[in-house]
Amino acid sequence: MLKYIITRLALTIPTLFGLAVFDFLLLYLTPGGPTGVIIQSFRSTGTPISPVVIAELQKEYGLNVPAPVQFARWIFNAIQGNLGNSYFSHEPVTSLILARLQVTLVLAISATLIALAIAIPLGVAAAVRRNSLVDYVGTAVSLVGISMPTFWLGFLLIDFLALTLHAFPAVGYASPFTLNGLRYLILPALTLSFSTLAIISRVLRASMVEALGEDYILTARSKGLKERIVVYRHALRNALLPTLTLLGLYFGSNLGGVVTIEYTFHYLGLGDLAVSAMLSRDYPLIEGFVLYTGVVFVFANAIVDIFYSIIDPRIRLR
Amino acid sequence: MSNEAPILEVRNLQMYFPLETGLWSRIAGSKRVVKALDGVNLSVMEGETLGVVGESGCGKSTLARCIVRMYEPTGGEVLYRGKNVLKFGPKEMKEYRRKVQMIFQDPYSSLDPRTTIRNMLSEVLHLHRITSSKQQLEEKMEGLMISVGLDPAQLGRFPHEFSGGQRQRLCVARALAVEPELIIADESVSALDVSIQAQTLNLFEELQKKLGLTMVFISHDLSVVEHISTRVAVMYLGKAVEVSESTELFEDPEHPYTQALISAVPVPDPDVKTNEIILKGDVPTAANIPPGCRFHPRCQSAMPVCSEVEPVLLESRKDHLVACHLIHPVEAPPKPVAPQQVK
Amino acid sequence: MASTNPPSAMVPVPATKGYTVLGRKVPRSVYRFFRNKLAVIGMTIVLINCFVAIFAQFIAPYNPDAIPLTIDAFQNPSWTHLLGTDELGRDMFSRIVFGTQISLTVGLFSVLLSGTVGITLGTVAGWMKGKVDRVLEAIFDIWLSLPSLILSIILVTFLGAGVRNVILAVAVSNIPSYARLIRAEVIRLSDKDFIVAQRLLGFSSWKIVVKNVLPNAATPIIVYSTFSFAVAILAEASLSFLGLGVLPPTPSWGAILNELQVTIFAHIEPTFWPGLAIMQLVLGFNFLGDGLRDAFDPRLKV
Repeated sequence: MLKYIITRLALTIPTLFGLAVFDFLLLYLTPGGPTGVIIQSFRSTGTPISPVVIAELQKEYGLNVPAPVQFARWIFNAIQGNLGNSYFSHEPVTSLILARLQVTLVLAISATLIALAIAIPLGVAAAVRRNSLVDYVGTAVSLVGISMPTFWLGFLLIDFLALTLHAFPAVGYASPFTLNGLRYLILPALTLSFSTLAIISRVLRASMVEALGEDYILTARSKGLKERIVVYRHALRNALLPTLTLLGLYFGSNLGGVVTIEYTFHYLGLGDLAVSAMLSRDYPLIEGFVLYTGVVFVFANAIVDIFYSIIDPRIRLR
Repeated sequence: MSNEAPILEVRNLQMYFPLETGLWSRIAGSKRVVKALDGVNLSVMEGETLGVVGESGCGKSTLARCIVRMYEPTGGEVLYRGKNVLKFGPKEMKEYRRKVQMIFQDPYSSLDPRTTIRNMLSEVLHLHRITSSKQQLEEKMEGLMISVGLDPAQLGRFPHEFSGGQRQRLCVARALAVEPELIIADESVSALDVSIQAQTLNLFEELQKKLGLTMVFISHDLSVVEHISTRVAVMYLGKAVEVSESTELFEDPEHPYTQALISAVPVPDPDVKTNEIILKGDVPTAANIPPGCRFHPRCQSAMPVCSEVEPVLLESRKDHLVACHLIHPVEAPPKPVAPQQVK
Repeated sequence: MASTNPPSAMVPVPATKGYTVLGRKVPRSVYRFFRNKLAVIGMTIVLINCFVAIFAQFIAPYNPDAIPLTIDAFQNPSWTHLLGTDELGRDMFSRIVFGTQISLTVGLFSVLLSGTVGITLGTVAGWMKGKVDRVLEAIFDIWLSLPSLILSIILVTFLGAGVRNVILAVAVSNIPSYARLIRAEVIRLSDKDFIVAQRLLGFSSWKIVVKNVLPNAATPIIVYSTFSFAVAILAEASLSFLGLGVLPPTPSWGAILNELQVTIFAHIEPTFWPGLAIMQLVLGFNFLGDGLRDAFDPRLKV
């Protein structure tokens, strides 16, 4: 077991290195390359630019050395947490990102909890009463849920819950660690939870249907146990494990959904920071965002694999 | 041994598979291997049918796959008409592919479900330029269908429209399309119903006589092998332990393992008293081969020397090879079977 | 010859039972597909959208970019403006009709591009195995180290906005999952006896892959491509909504929402229509994909 965990974690090293190379090379995709980017950021300050100034700038930003050396310096700094300063706020990228990452994690975790709180009863009810109204509603919700652009769902919720019912503030942000902040958290979290909810409830329904057909359920029933206990204690416990594993995977890809949702709700998380960095071409900040998201995503996937290998030892043999 | 040169000869063939392929074992440098073939020596004469028998896991199928170079053996030689197949370049290999064909076990997975029989055969005939005109092609395909007992009118059909036995006939037709000299049948009737098995065996026999084919017939089923083979090789844990003319082997087996195998064949007569030899223990795995004679832990007549010295496959009578210390006491200087086996 | 073979071998196989759709004889899988209501609904939705995209000029009552001289922004739906007007008084229905073109173009070309590259890489990895496979797998791991939507967003940021770059960004982020799928399929098939038989008959790898492996992998490829359409359309909408993909005034559904976002407090109603447009098309492709999978390859069912 320990051997598998170490191997799986060791496998993230080449992946993360590759991600770092990709991140470093991104600047070369832009028209004009890294130098062009710097020139552009200076043009906005109104400083006149001559070839001499360009050469000086290149020297200042370490662009006068070969690319591999630049990469080595960049990654050396990155490991120490130094990703440079934002072009605009001139604050260190790392501290900007870490502050926002907290907020985004709170949002993602709340969304996951909401999804579970709705998906588990829905999935169980659909499996217990197959082809009933609950089941059809569940199917419809999940089909619509995976086909809906999340930000549009955000507009619908703003319209209904904020502008019509005045239950929550429509958009905006207050620190989610305060009571007032929770009011701002609910709408984006609800929106983000929907696609996870859609998938989890379907998967749970399928594994519940399977679990309810097993022999041990028959045994439990023939012992005269109450149906509630059979369903919740015996079937659900076995059906939940595969579902939770899947949840881990969706938690990772929720990081993608976070971007559009934070933008929709003007919610000041990492996604909102990233979009404004992208719209204003704040490259150090974008590169930092790529690196941090990648690290979180890669580790989330590794943890899911490890978790999976604990509940299903066959996977280790691979 | 007869004096003619064999059509196919396998010398000291070894196929070791690494047991662990993961990242960890590469770091730790693990060298554990499964010895699927551990020095097999066999020869196949032109026009004969060599049966290869043994329990599952003894390396029969690996042997077949090494001969056709589906696997690259880790040691030894495969000689086809005296030339080492394992050293063939692409051009010689293509020629070899025409000469040696294989029939598989599962007739359901050995035909492409998306190709009609006509396309399947015409592509093969086209590839090796066996027919030159359209008319010739059509005649050849019809001839192939008839020769395996199928209706040429069914050429346009897909494999799923045929039964298991018919599919195996189609596989035979495909193999015959390249006009091979040697056919290797790997458990080719094992997946069929007993009644279909007999028909298919008859087809093999008939084709062999008619076309002068040489066959290597691999099976775990002794009655099948007895029925079709002129000569039989018995394999145990990656090695040939006894090779002899078929009737002689079944009537008078010398190796204790062969004796046990044959005694286990049920006789369809309630009055015949069989002295079935019950083997002790399980087949050891090819990852963990016992020292000395690999059969000694299960052998009834094992002697102390058997767990120390590995017996060599030697001639006990004319054209009868056996690897056992009971037959060839270890004190006697072992005589090599064929001069080329000594390095 | 026939003497040893009992006549049963010569008896022709009975023809498969007749399945008919609209009076025509069809294979069983096609019959299964048309019996599935959701599949037929999905196909209908997709076909209608294709029709609307092709004949947009004739369907749209107004020029989608025309800003009227008299200010009549944010009109409610009426017979003159079926879905009302937007913040500049442009006809929402016409804009949505033209938006179909962009969604389907991005969907089609990104699926073609990611499919071609993904199938090639996946086939190479699955067929060659060994070192080549390990290297490609490591590259796919890196490729997948960002959630695919984030990868698209990043790429389009660095490549610049516009339909062409959106196609490129969406396609690139979808390549590794395509390749993984094909790789698994090729590995599964290359162990089959009929593929081994082709090798033993002397066919070259190239020929076996093109004539035997890929045709047998066609069903999962088609099913996955259908789902990829849905993913690509959603990704384009997200990118354009963020203001990084297809930029206004081009009437992409995502871009329309981007423009309307500024004024949601005063007028949130118009955001309903472009969102609905995105959802119906994505739903259509998802239904179609489910239907194709259930009909042609039940093995793939999750």
